[in-house]
Amino acid sequence: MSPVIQVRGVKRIYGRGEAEVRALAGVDMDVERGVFLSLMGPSGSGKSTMLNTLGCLDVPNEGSYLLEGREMVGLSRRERALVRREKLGFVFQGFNLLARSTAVENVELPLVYQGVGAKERRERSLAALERVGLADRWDHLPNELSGGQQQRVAIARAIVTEPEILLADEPTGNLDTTMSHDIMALLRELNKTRGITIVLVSHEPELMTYVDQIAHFRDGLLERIEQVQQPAPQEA
Amino acid sequence: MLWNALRIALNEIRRNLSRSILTALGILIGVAAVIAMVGIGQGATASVEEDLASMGNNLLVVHPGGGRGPGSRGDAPNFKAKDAEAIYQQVQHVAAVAPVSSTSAQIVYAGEDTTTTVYGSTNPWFEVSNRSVASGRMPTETEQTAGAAVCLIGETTRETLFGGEAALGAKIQVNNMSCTVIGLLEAKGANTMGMDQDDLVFAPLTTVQRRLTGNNEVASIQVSADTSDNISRVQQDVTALMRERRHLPANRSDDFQVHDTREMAQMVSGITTTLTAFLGAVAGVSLLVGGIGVMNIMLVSVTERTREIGIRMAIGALERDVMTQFLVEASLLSAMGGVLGVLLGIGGSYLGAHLLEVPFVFNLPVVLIAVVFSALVGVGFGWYPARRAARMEPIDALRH
Repeated sequence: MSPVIQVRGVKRIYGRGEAEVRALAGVDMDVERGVFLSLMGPSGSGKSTMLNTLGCLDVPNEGSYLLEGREMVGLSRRERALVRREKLGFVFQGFNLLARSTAVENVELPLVYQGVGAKERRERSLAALERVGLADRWDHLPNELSGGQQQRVAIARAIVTEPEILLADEPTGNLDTTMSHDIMALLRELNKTRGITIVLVSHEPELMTYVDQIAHFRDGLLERIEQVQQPAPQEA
Repeated sequence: MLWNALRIALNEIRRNLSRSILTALGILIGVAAVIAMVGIGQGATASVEEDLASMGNNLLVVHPGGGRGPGSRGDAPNFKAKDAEAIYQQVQHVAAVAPVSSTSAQIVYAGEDTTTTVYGSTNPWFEVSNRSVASGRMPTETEQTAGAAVCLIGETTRETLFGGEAALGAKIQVNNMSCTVIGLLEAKGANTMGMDQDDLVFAPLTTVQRRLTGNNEVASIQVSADTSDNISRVQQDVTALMRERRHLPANRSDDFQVHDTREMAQMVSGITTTLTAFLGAVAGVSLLVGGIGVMNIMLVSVTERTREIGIRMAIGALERDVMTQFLVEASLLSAMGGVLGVLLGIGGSYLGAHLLEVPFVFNLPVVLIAVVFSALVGVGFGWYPARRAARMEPIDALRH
């Protein structure tokens, strides 16, 4: 089976002339289906740009990005939005929940845009909240929840559409150590039980025990992919 | 999606309640102003048209003199009662003809005196000038022929002279003539120009000619056409007949005029219609200003919610979804203002109509137009902010 993500020669350059910044300077990367991959590197190494590119939020200047064999480079805004809607789930460092909506309303949001009916939406969202261990907090507003709980809501929101790939940008960046481990364990579990491919950005080495692979970035280039020594289920 | 957008919009409006109310107020005032102004304007038009209709039935007035410009004569002869007779006999589609001779006179009764206009005419006068007798009677055939000293008086004149006393059968002094009040005229109120139509004395034509003016001439002939469609035709025929009777050669212009009172009605209602349009346009400008207020607030709202827009787009909102959300919010804001504006506008035009003493006209089309227009204002002025929101790059919006 071909890799779910195939990146070839991707370049992303911001600015022009003197102010030119080569965020990605020509990256080749494959991600197999079901893999839990972390992008690591110092700030400015291009790992966040890579994640945004994989998430169809950013468009490379050059190169090719195949998602499930479909070329993403050159898609229109609308086509990219549709890919995000149908294939991808996002978890952000700052949780990015809608402050005035309850937990379950936040989780429902992607289903609203998919056009799922209200009843099914509510059922699936409650199931997703249960999956992340927050079934009893479904009607709480984000500010009534701890950071870890908020991130769980965000994860529920990301998985409620059953995406192919879950993209997480420093999901533990705003959390303390205990909560960080909780979240990583949850992601790992979702990865294993549901077979969701997960790509996350992190710079906390102690959390790397949860992942299968670490992609090391430096100066806009992928240096190497490190296999983490642990019994990782690799069906692909 | 639309239902959802509506719910979000309601929440946003509730969250920024005072801001939303102020924004909706702009639309409210605009819509209310349009409805009130147009309503009052149309009330004024209706009032003018009513007054003009009360002047007489399909009325043409024939005056001597007239035509300014070359060939006109300042000393055009006056008409005689016979001319009126001829019109009645010879012109088709004439319902009634009344020769009128009028003069100003001093009226005295029991120490009370007043100066008013005395109209001398034949009984068809009642029909052509749309008057009726409230109590008493019209002059008889004999009284008309003989020039008997009888008269009818208008309500204002009666009030001045008699107050609470009975007027029927009383003898009043009109200049040097002593005459018996045989009837009271139905009150008509003031006309369009604010002239009191009830301050008058009516007497038979012969009476006025013999005892007051001292000649057998008439100042004007009032002609009533049978239907309004025939007015122009009667006007032409009367003109032709009068030229013939006055022996005017073809190269001479008319030395008399045949006025169609509709012309005046059209002119006056034209003025009020123009005024209505003008007032409506001024009010429309305030609606426009209200719309700009909506746009302003929506732009603020879009900026405030940049991050929210980014989140929505990242998790699957299409441009269209974001666009819908903000358009619905803008439309809702202005539609709320619109609905309240309609209520205020109807109230305002009712009050205005009452204060200006014009009829209250409820104009459904104008109300509908104002409501639709206010919703359009929402969509129109919400478009730019909504588009700005929808065109954001999610990645930039998220960094906000």
